[in-house]
Amino acid sequence: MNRDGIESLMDRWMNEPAFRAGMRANPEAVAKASGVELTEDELAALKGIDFRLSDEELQARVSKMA
Amino acid sequence: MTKSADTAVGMTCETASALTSAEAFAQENTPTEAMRELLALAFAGFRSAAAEMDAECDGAPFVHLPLNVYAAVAGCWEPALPVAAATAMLYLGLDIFDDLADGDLPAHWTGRRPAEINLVAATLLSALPQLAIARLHAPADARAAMLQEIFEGLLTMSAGQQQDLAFAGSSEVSTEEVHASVNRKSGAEMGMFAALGALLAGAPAEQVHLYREVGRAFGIAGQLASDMHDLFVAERSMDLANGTRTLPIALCLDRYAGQEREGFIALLRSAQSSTSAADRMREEIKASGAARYCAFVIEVQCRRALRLLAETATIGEPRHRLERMIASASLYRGATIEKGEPR
Repeated sequence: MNRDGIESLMDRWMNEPAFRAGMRANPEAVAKASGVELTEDELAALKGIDFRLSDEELQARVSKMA
Repeated sequence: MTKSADTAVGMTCETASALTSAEAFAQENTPTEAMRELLALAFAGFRSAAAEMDAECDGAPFVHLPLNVYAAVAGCWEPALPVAAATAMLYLGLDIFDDLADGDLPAHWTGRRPAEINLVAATLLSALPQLAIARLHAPADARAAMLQEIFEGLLTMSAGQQQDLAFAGSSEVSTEEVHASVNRKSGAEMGMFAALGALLAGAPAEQVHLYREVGRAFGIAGQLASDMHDLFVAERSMDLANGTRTLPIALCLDRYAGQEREGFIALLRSAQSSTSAADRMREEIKASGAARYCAFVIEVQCRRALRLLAETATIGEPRHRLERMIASASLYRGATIEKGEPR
Protein backbone atom coordinates (compact mmCIF):
# COMPACT_ATOMS: atom_id res chain seq x y z
CA MET A 1 0.00 0.00 0.00
CA ASN A 2 1.29 3.43 -0.98
CA ARG A 3 0.96 5.17 2.39
CA ASP A 4 2.06 8.68 1.35
CA GLY A 5 -0.12 8.58 -1.75
CA ILE A 6 -3.16 7.35 0.17
CA GLU A 7 -2.70 9.98 2.85
CA SER A 8 -2.46 12.77 0.28
CA LEU A 9 -5.63 11.52 -1.47
CA MET A 10 -7.43 11.39 1.86
CA ASP A 11 -6.39 14.96 2.68
CA ARG A 12 -7.65 16.20 -0.67
CA TRP A 13 -10.90 14.22 -0.28
CA MET A 14 -11.46 15.95 3.04
CA ASN A 15 -10.65 19.47 1.87
CA GLU A 16 -11.55 19.76 -1.83
CA PRO A 17 -15.21 19.24 -2.83
CA ALA A 18 -14.31 19.14 -6.55
CA PHE A 19 -11.75 16.43 -5.90
CA ARG A 20 -14.34 14.48 -3.91
CA ALA A 21 -16.86 14.71 -6.73
CA GLY A 22 -14.24 13.64 -9.26
CA MET A 23 -13.20 10.73 -7.11
CA ARG A 24 -16.78 9.52 -6.86
CA ALA A 25 -17.27 9.77 -10.61
CA ASN A 26 -13.98 8.31 -11.78
CA PRO A 27 -11.62 7.40 -8.93
CA GLU A 28 -9.11 5.65 -11.14
CA ALA A 29 -8.59 8.65 -13.40
CA VAL A 30 -8.48 11.14 -10.52
CA ALA A 31 -6.02 9.04 -8.53
CA LYS A 32 -3.87 8.57 -11.63
CA ALA A 33 -3.94 12.32 -12.33
CA SER A 34 -2.74 12.81 -8.75
CA GLY A 35 0.19 10.49 -9.45
CA VAL A 36 -1.01 7.75 -7.11
CA GLU A 37 -1.19 4.13 -8.24
CA LEU A 38 -3.99 2.27 -6.50
CA THR A 39 -5.06 -1.37 -6.41
CA GLU A 40 -8.60 -2.42 -7.36
CA ASP A 41 -9.55 -2.74 -3.68
CA GLU A 42 -8.03 0.61 -2.73
CA LEU A 43 -10.02 2.25 -5.51
CA ALA A 44 -13.21 0.55 -4.32
CA ALA A 45 -12.56 1.76 -0.78
CA LEU A 46 -11.77 5.31 -1.90
CA LYS A 47 -14.88 5.47 -4.05
CA GLY A 48 -17.24 4.06 -1.52
CA ILE A 49 -16.40 5.59 1.85
CA ASP A 50 -16.91 8.96 3.43
CA PHE A 51 -13.75 10.43 4.90
CA ARG A 52 -15.77 13.19 6.52
CA LEU A 53 -16.53 10.90 9.43
CA SER A 54 -14.53 12.48 12.25
CA ASP A 55 -11.81 10.63 14.14
CA GLU A 56 -14.15 10.53 17.14
CA GLU A 57 -16.93 8.98 15.05
CA LEU A 58 -14.53 6.40 13.63
CA GLN A 59 -13.13 5.52 17.02
CA ALA A 60 -16.65 5.04 18.36
CA ARG A 61 -17.29 2.50 15.60
CA VAL A 62 -14.30 0.29 16.41
CA SER A 63 -15.15 -3.21 17.58
CA LYS A 64 -13.03 -5.57 19.64
CA MET A 65 -13.01 -8.27 17.00
CA ALA A 66 -10.16 -10.54 18.03
CA MET B 1 -27.15 -15.92 12.93
CA THR B 2 -29.37 -18.06 15.16
CA LYS B 3 -29.78 -17.13 18.81
CA SER B 4 -29.06 -19.85 21.33
CA ALA B 5 -31.67 -20.98 23.81
CA ASP B 6 -29.08 -20.08 26.45
CA THR B 7 -30.20 -16.44 26.63
CA ALA B 8 -28.12 -15.80 29.77
CA VAL B 9 -24.99 -16.28 27.71
CA GLY B 10 -26.48 -14.79 24.52
CA MET B 11 -24.47 -17.01 22.22
CA THR B 12 -25.56 -18.11 18.74
CA CYS B 13 -26.71 -21.72 18.41
CA GLU B 14 -23.79 -22.44 16.10
CA THR B 15 -21.17 -21.11 18.52
CA ALA B 16 -22.81 -22.78 21.52
CA SER B 17 -22.99 -26.10 19.64
CA ALA B 18 -19.38 -25.89 18.46
CA LEU B 19 -18.09 -25.07 21.94
CA THR B 20 -20.16 -27.84 23.53
CA SER B 21 -18.93 -30.30 20.92
CA ALA B 22 -15.30 -29.14 21.35
CA GLU B 23 -15.44 -29.45 25.13
CA ALA B 24 -17.03 -32.91 24.95
CA PHE B 25 -14.35 -34.04 22.50
CA ALA B 26 -11.60 -32.66 24.75
CA GLN B 27 -13.06 -34.37 27.82
CA GLU B 28 -13.49 -37.73 26.04
CA ASN B 29 -9.95 -37.79 24.71
CA THR B 30 -7.92 -36.44 27.60
CA PRO B 31 -6.52 -39.26 29.73
CA THR B 32 -6.24 -37.70 33.23
CA GLU B 33 -8.78 -36.06 35.54
CA ALA B 34 -6.44 -33.18 36.40
CA MET B 35 -5.96 -32.29 32.73
CA ARG B 36 -9.69 -32.58 32.08
CA GLU B 37 -10.29 -30.10 34.93
CA LEU B 38 -7.88 -27.60 33.39
CA LEU B 39 -9.56 -27.92 29.99
CA ALA B 40 -13.00 -27.47 31.59
CA LEU B 41 -11.73 -24.28 33.19
CA ALA B 42 -10.50 -23.01 29.83
CA PHE B 43 -13.85 -23.66 28.12
CA ALA B 44 -15.89 -22.19 30.98
CA GLY B 45 -13.82 -19.03 30.98
CA PHE B 46 -14.03 -18.71 27.20
CA ARG B 47 -17.82 -18.72 26.88
CA SER B 48 -18.36 -15.05 27.71
CA ALA B 49 -15.61 -14.00 25.27
CA ALA B 50 -17.19 -16.17 22.57
CA ALA B 51 -20.60 -14.60 23.19
CA GLU B 52 -19.01 -11.15 22.94
CA MET B 53 -17.47 -12.10 19.58
CA ASP B 54 -20.83 -13.43 18.40
CA ALA B 55 -22.31 -10.00 19.06
CA GLU B 56 -19.39 -7.94 17.69
CA CYS B 57 -18.87 -9.91 14.47
CA ASP B 58 -22.39 -11.08 13.66
CA GLY B 59 -21.25 -14.60 14.56
CA ALA B 60 -17.92 -15.52 16.20
CA PRO B 61 -15.64 -16.00 13.15
CA PHE B 62 -13.76 -19.02 14.52
CA VAL B 63 -17.07 -20.94 14.30
CA HIS B 64 -19.17 -19.09 11.73
CA LEU B 65 -16.44 -18.72 9.11
CA PRO B 66 -15.85 -22.47 8.53
CA LEU B 67 -19.58 -23.23 8.92
CA ASN B 68 -20.71 -20.59 6.42
CA VAL B 69 -17.99 -21.49 3.91
CA TYR B 70 -19.02 -25.14 4.19
CA ALA B 71 -22.67 -24.16 3.75
CA ALA B 72 -21.76 -22.02 0.73
CA VAL B 73 -20.30 -25.09 -0.99
CA ALA B 74 -22.45 -27.90 0.38
CA GLY B 75 -25.77 -26.19 1.10
CA CYS B 76 -26.04 -26.71 4.88
CA TRP B 77 -23.75 -26.14 7.85
CA GLU B 78 -24.59 -28.95 10.27
CA PRO B 79 -22.15 -31.59 8.93
CA ALA B 80 -19.30 -29.11 9.45
CA LEU B 81 -19.92 -28.78 13.19
CA PRO B 82 -16.95 -31.07 14.08
CA VAL B 83 -14.70 -28.79 12.03
CA ALA B 84 -16.08 -25.74 13.87
CA ALA B 85 -15.32 -27.58 17.12
CA ALA B 86 -11.73 -28.05 15.92
CA THR B 87 -11.39 -24.38 14.90
CA ALA B 88 -12.88 -23.35 18.27
CA MET B 89 -10.16 -25.39 20.01
CA LEU B 90 -7.49 -23.81 17.81
CA TYR B 91 -8.80 -20.32 18.51
CA LEU B 92 -9.01 -20.96 22.25
CA GLY B 93 -5.45 -22.34 22.34
CA LEU B 94 -4.15 -19.28 20.47
CA ASP B 95 -6.17 -16.95 22.70
CA ILE B 96 -4.64 -18.46 25.84
CA PHE B 97 -1.11 -18.21 24.42
CA ASP B 98 -1.80 -14.54 23.55
CA ASP B 99 -3.04 -13.83 27.06
CA LEU B 100 0.05 -15.49 28.51
CA ALA B 101 2.37 -13.50 26.23
CA ASP B 102 0.59 -10.22 27.03
CA GLY B 103 0.38 -10.86 30.77
CA ASP B 104 -3.36 -10.42 30.44
CA LEU B 105 -4.80 -13.66 31.83
CA PRO B 106 -8.54 -13.61 32.63
CA ALA B 107 -9.65 -14.04 36.24
CA HIS B 108 -10.67 -17.69 35.84
CA TRP B 109 -6.97 -18.66 35.73
CA THR B 110 -6.29 -17.16 39.16
CA GLY B 111 -4.31 -19.60 41.30
CA ARG B 112 -3.11 -21.63 38.31
CA ARG B 113 0.60 -21.74 37.43
CA PRO B 114 1.64 -20.32 34.03
CA ALA B 115 3.18 -23.70 33.17
CA GLU B 116 -0.23 -25.37 33.62
CA ILE B 117 -1.99 -22.73 31.51
CA ASN B 118 0.72 -23.11 28.88
CA LEU B 119 0.04 -26.84 28.81
CA VAL B 120 -3.68 -26.27 28.23
CA ALA B 121 -2.94 -23.92 25.34
CA ALA B 122 -0.48 -26.38 23.76
CA THR B 123 -2.99 -29.24 24.07
CA LEU B 124 -5.76 -27.16 22.48
CA LEU B 125 -3.53 -25.99 19.70
CA SER B 126 -1.42 -28.96 18.75
CA ALA B 127 -3.20 -32.20 19.72
CA LEU B 128 -6.98 -32.05 20.06
CA PRO B 129 -7.94 -30.25 16.79
CA GLN B 130 -5.72 -32.54 14.73
CA LEU B 131 -7.26 -35.59 16.40
CA ALA B 132 -10.74 -34.23 15.69
CA ILE B 133 -9.88 -33.74 12.02
CA ALA B 134 -8.29 -37.20 11.76
CA ARG B 135 -11.54 -38.75 13.07
CA LEU B 136 -13.91 -36.88 10.74
CA HIS B 137 -16.28 -38.92 8.62
CA ALA B 138 -14.70 -37.62 5.44
CA PRO B 139 -12.58 -39.05 2.62
CA ALA B 140 -8.95 -39.70 3.61
CA ASP B 141 -7.59 -37.18 1.10
CA ALA B 142 -9.89 -34.46 2.47
CA ARG B 143 -8.72 -35.18 6.02
CA ALA B 144 -5.07 -35.14 4.91
CA ALA B 145 -5.58 -31.80 3.14
CA MET B 146 -7.26 -30.35 6.25
CA LEU B 147 -4.41 -31.46 8.48
CA GLN B 148 -1.91 -29.96 6.08
CA GLU B 149 -3.93 -26.72 6.11
CA ILE B 150 -3.67 -26.61 9.90
CA PHE B 151 0.05 -27.36 10.02
CA GLU B 152 0.89 -24.79 7.35
CA GLY B 153 -1.40 -22.22 8.97
CA LEU B 154 0.19 -22.70 12.38
CA LEU B 155 3.71 -22.42 10.93
CA THR B 156 2.78 -19.12 9.23
CA MET B 157 1.15 -17.81 12.40
CA SER B 158 4.18 -18.80 14.44
CA ALA B 159 6.40 -16.72 12.14
CA GLY B 160 3.98 -13.79 12.45
CA GLN B 161 3.99 -14.03 16.22
CA GLN B 162 7.80 -14.08 16.24
CA GLN B 163 7.82 -10.86 14.17
CA ASP B 164 5.34 -9.31 16.56
CA LEU B 165 7.55 -10.20 19.53
CA ALA B 166 10.66 -8.88 17.76
CA PHE B 167 8.92 -5.52 17.14
CA ALA B 168 7.99 -5.07 20.80
CA GLY B 169 9.60 -1.96 22.22
CA SER B 170 11.29 -1.13 18.90
CA SER B 171 11.18 2.28 17.25
CA GLU B 172 12.28 0.86 13.88
CA VAL B 173 8.98 -0.64 12.74
CA SER B 174 7.28 0.40 9.51
CA THR B 175 3.61 0.21 8.55
CA GLU B 176 4.56 -2.40 5.91
CA GLU B 177 6.21 -4.60 8.55
CA VAL B 178 3.20 -4.36 10.84
CA HIS B 179 0.92 -5.24 7.94
CA ALA B 180 3.07 -8.28 7.09
CA SER B 181 2.99 -9.46 10.70
CA VAL B 182 -0.81 -9.05 10.94
CA ASN B 183 -1.17 -10.93 7.65
CA ARG B 184 0.87 -13.86 8.99
CA LYS B 185 -0.84 -13.96 12.37
CA SER B 186 -4.50 -13.09 11.97
CA GLY B 187 -4.74 -13.34 8.19
CA ALA B 188 -3.38 -16.88 8.20
CA GLU B 189 -5.62 -17.83 11.13
CA MET B 190 -8.91 -16.78 9.54
CA GLY B 191 -7.72 -17.97 6.13
CA MET B 192 -7.11 -21.40 7.64
CA PHE B 193 -10.58 -21.46 9.28
CA ALA B 194 -12.28 -20.61 5.98
CA ALA B 195 -10.21 -23.09 3.98
CA LEU B 196 -11.05 -25.91 6.42
CA GLY B 197 -14.76 -25.44 5.73
CA ALA B 198 -14.15 -25.48 1.97
CA LEU B 199 -11.90 -28.56 2.15
CA LEU B 200 -14.45 -30.57 4.13
CA ALA B 201 -17.13 -29.62 1.60
CA GLY B 202 -14.95 -30.98 -1.20
CA ALA B 203 -14.50 -27.65 -2.98
CA PRO B 204 -12.03 -27.60 -5.89
CA ALA B 205 -8.56 -26.18 -5.20
CA GLU B 206 -9.24 -22.78 -6.78
CA GLN B 207 -12.38 -22.34 -4.63
CA VAL B 208 -10.47 -23.35 -1.49
CA HIS B 209 -7.86 -20.73 -2.38
CA LEU B 210 -10.52 -18.03 -2.85
CA TYR B 211 -12.22 -18.80 0.47
CA ARG B 212 -8.82 -18.86 2.21
CA GLU B 213 -8.13 -15.39 0.81
CA VAL B 214 -11.58 -14.16 1.88
CA GLY B 215 -10.77 -15.36 5.39
CA ARG B 216 -7.30 -13.84 5.24
CA ALA B 217 -8.56 -10.38 4.25
CA PHE B 218 -11.27 -10.51 6.92
CA GLY B 219 -8.70 -11.66 9.51
CA ILE B 220 -6.40 -8.74 8.72
CA ALA B 221 -9.31 -6.27 8.90
CA GLY B 222 -10.52 -7.74 12.19
CA GLN B 223 -7.08 -7.65 13.80
CA LEU B 224 -6.48 -4.05 12.74
CA ALA B 225 -9.90 -3.11 14.15
CA SER B 226 -9.06 -4.90 17.38
CA ASP B 227 -5.73 -3.04 17.58
CA MET B 228 -7.57 0.25 17.13
CA HIS B 229 -9.97 -0.77 19.89
CA ASP B 230 -7.07 -1.37 22.26
CA LEU B 231 -5.57 2.02 21.55
CA PHE B 232 -8.63 4.24 21.15
CA VAL B 233 -11.43 2.61 23.14
CA ALA B 234 -10.23 0.13 25.79
CA GLU B 235 -9.98 1.35 29.37
CA ARG B 236 -6.28 0.44 29.40
CA SER B 237 -4.12 -0.18 26.35
CA MET B 238 -2.41 -3.54 26.77
CA ASP B 239 -0.50 -2.93 23.54
CA LEU B 240 1.08 0.24 24.92
CA ALA B 241 1.90 -1.53 28.19
CA ASN B 242 3.52 -4.42 26.33
CA GLY B 243 5.37 -2.26 23.80
CA THR B 244 3.42 -3.89 20.96
CA ARG B 245 3.76 -2.01 17.69
CA THR B 246 0.34 -1.82 16.03
CA LEU B 247 -0.56 0.07 12.84
CA PRO B 248 -1.45 3.47 14.38
CA ILE B 249 1.88 3.50 16.25
CA ALA B 250 3.87 2.42 13.19
CA LEU B 251 2.10 5.09 11.16
CA CYS B 252 3.25 7.81 13.57
CA LEU B 253 6.78 6.36 13.55
CA ASP B 254 6.74 6.45 9.72
CA ARG B 255 5.41 10.01 9.60
CA TYR B 256 7.49 11.73 12.24
CA ALA B 257 11.07 12.87 11.89
CA GLY B 258 13.69 14.65 13.97
CA GLN B 259 12.75 15.94 17.40
CA GLU B 260 9.08 15.15 16.92
CA ARG B 261 9.96 11.48 16.35
CA GLU B 262 12.37 11.40 19.29
CA GLY B 263 9.69 12.84 21.58
CA PHE B 264 7.16 10.31 20.31
CA ILE B 265 9.57 7.40 20.93
CA ALA B 266 10.39 8.66 24.44
CA LEU B 267 6.69 8.87 25.29
CA LEU B 268 6.11 5.39 23.83
CA ARG B 269 8.78 4.00 26.18
CA SER B 270 7.32 5.79 29.19
CA ALA B 271 3.85 4.51 28.26
CA GLN B 272 4.97 0.94 29.02
CA SER B 273 5.28 1.66 32.73
CA SER B 274 3.37 4.90 33.38
CA THR B 275 -0.41 5.20 33.14
CA SER B 276 -0.28 8.97 32.71
CA ALA B 277 2.28 8.63 29.90
CA ALA B 278 0.06 5.99 28.28
CA ASP B 279 -2.90 8.40 28.46
CA ARG B 280 -0.82 11.16 26.85
CA MET B 281 0.38 8.74 24.18
CA ARG B 282 -3.19 7.73 23.33
CA GLU B 283 -4.24 11.37 23.05
CA GLU B 284 -1.27 12.13 20.80
CA ILE B 285 -2.04 9.20 18.48
CA LYS B 286 -5.72 10.19 18.38
CA ALA B 287 -4.75 13.77 17.47
CA SER B 288 -2.41 12.52 14.72
CA GLY B 289 -5.35 11.43 12.55
CA ALA B 290 -4.02 7.86 12.47
CA ALA B 291 -7.56 6.53 12.98
CA ARG B 292 -8.63 7.71 9.52
CA TYR B 293 -5.72 6.01 7.77
CA CYS B 294 -6.19 2.78 9.74
CA ALA B 295 -9.92 2.83 8.98
CA PHE B 296 -9.06 3.08 5.29
CA VAL B 297 -6.63 0.15 5.48
CA ILE B 298 -9.37 -1.89 7.20
CA GLU B 299 -11.84 -0.84 4.50
CA VAL B 300 -9.48 -1.98 1.75
CA GLN B 301 -9.29 -5.43 3.35
CA CYS B 302 -13.09 -5.57 3.72
CA ARG B 303 -13.51 -4.63 0.06
CA ARG B 304 -10.96 -7.29 -0.90
CA ALA B 305 -12.83 -9.90 1.13
CA LEU B 306 -16.16 -8.93 -0.47
CA ARG B 307 -14.66 -8.94 -3.98
CA LEU B 308 -13.13 -12.39 -3.48
CA LEU B 309 -16.36 -13.69 -1.97
CA ALA B 310 -18.18 -12.53 -5.10
CA GLU B 311 -15.61 -14.45 -7.18
CA THR B 312 -16.52 -17.66 -5.35
CA ALA B 313 -20.06 -17.26 -6.77
CA THR B 314 -21.44 -17.97 -3.28
CA ILE B 315 -25.17 -17.20 -3.17
CA GLY B 316 -28.06 -17.19 -0.72
CA GLU B 317 -27.92 -17.13 3.07
CA PRO B 318 -24.27 -18.25 3.44
CA ARG B 319 -23.20 -15.31 1.29
CA HIS B 320 -25.31 -12.87 3.28
CA ARG B 321 -23.90 -14.21 6.53
CA LEU B 322 -20.31 -13.95 5.29
CA GLU B 323 -20.97 -10.43 3.98
CA ARG B 324 -22.38 -9.35 7.35
CA MET B 325 -19.36 -10.83 9.13
CA ILE B 326 -16.98 -8.96 6.82
CA ALA B 327 -18.98 -5.73 7.19
CA SER B 328 -18.69 -6.01 10.98
CA ALA B 329 -14.97 -5.18 10.66
CA SER B 330 -15.59 -2.04 8.60
CA LEU B 331 -15.64 1.29 10.41
CA TYR B 332 -17.77 2.63 7.57
CA ARG B 333 -20.46 -0.02 7.95
CA GLY B 334 -23.88 1.54 7.69
CA ALA B 335 -22.38 4.51 5.87
CA THR B 336 -21.17 2.45 2.94
CA ILE B 337 -21.46 -1.33 2.60
CA GLU B 338 -24.99 -1.70 3.90
CA LYS B 339 -26.47 1.37 2.27
CA GLY B 340 -24.37 1.02 -0.85
CA GLU B 341 -23.65 4.72 -1.43
CA PRO B 342 -21.57 7.14 0.62
CA ARG B 343 -23.29 10.05 2.27
